[in-house]
Amino acid sequence: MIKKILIANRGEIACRIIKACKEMKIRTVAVYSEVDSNSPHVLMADQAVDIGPANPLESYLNFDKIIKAAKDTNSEAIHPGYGFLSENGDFAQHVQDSGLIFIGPDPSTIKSMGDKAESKQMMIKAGVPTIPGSDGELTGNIDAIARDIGYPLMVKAAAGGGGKGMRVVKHSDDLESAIDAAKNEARNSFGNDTLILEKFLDNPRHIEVQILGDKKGNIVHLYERECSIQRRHQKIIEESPSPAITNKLRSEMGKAAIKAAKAANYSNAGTVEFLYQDGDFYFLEMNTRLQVEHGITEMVCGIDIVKWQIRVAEGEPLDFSQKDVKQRGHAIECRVYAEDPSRDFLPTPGLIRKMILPEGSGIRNDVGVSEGQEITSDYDPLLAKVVVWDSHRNSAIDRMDYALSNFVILGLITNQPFLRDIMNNDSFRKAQFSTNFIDDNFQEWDFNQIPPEVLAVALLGTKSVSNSKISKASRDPHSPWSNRGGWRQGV
Amino acid sequence: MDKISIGSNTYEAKLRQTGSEFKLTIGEDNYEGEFSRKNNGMVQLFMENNRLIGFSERNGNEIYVHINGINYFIKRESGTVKDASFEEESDDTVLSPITGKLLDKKVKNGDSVRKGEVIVILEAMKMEHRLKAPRDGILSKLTSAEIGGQIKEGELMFELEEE
Repeated sequence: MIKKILIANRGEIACRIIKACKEMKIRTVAVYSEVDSNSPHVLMADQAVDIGPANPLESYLNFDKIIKAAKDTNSEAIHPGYGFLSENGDFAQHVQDSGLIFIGPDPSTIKSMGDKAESKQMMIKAGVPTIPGSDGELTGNIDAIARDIGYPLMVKAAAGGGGKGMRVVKHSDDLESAIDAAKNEARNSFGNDTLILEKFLDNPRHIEVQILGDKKGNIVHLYERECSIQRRHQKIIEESPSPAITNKLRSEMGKAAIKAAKAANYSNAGTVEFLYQDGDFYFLEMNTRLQVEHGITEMVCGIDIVKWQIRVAEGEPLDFSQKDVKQRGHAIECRVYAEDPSRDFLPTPGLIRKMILPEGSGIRNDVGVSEGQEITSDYDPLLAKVVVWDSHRNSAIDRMDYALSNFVILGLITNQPFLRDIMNNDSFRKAQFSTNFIDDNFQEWDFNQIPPEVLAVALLGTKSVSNSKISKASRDPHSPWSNRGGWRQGV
Repeated sequence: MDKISIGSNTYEAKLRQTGSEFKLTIGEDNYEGEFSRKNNGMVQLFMENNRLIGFSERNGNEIYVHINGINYFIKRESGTVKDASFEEESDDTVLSPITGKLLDKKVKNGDSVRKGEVIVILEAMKMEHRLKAPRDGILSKLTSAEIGGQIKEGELMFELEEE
């Protein structure tokens, strides 16, 4: 049994993994860059190792420093989280070669699925439907290849994920500059600038299937997640089940996902992403890691994916089969980002001066920041994930709107008001949307009419408060506000 | 009179306070209410027969408010004092929209550039931002920041002169 795990990540996902380890009585080691020395993941872990400067190449992406930290602390395994080194097959191989357990699939699986060109060929062979596009790596006369596929098309980093290194090209004039930009981003984010071209589906939904496999060859799927609400090709709201598909299609997608996983000789947790349009679905990519939005699947299936990742890595077989996995109720996740929805979702670093998290039945917060923390421009601007569960989609949306409205976060701009607007949008409520939802409904988003109380609080609240002035009690003794027990300072 | 901006909305607002009562003027509209301050930055308002709970935090001219379930970011400018640190952006002047890192400068001062040409590339939170020439012209006042150096939001990136 694994006794100590090093978590090669930061932020909310490092915290999430540490919590699972603590429940399993496994000791934890955090790693951190110099700007993260007081971050929640560092404070939560049993031990923490400084791995250098803020630049990820010198810290969170540095193989040697991370493996040395694991060795120095006598860790037996490394959990990579998502992003950073999680889908780096060479890293996984190094971990194994150092005599440590990599919590994830086999390095060869990561390598073949991480290469979008190779994985696509593998899926075609396995009989999983794929999107028409360049067969493999982009070489030769690119203009001619692009013309054959037809515009609009998508330039994608072969090693990509998370929206990085991706560009939609509508006209041949823009192809060159899109390829340059995608190459640069791909090189900076993944250290590999190989690109592929693909037909761009104009109105698709993004629906993905969670899979979980053990080392004995058992693979189950944990049903789907609807992830169509995206900006900059990055998800901001996910839900499970998908309101778009029939049970018949649900079962076909689940079977296709298992077929894909078996073709890749998969073990541990992974996600098969599909695009869905007009009744057909196409393999998009397979993410060989824990997904940001895994929480909604945990809520509807009642299965702790992170704990199973650890058990499977230890060699334990799954103790349930496909027929035991049931979807129950409806779960939604909203990602709270430090970004400005009124300015094209530009990142907005800043200091978290106040944070109060929502509480209540069916509300889960996965958070990796705390009050007093400076959010720098060094890393991804994800601050927190609010996940809710309820018996039906409509009541889950109401619950999410309630949760978001009780999320106090002051000191920097976040997308919280924008997320609330989506919860109250008719098309969203009716589940009529595609990945174009935000462009179609929220172009030039800004605050609606500002009610006078906003200005009142702004102007009143700026006067300094002396302790003696703090008023005794609210005039309504039965008010929930006279007892502030319901509010708790965040993390 | 304070000039208050929230997103693209701008208001002229004035608040007068007597004990626990306040009068708020926004443009032509007048409001009255009562308030009390609680622990932890909490403000309780009675306004138009509603009781509301808000929070606020301040950093210089920036005010952060949570009320009615929404987190607001508010900029306050005193009516008479002009904030000198923000330059005016125009067709000739391009400012950085973000705080981040300078990845590349594609041209140098004195070069003639075409509309839409990429002049500088910035990066924040792993996303690239390409700043393009808003019109044809001659490049001047290109940022002197080193490649890899830090850029602040609102900082002048370059100007264009007539050809």
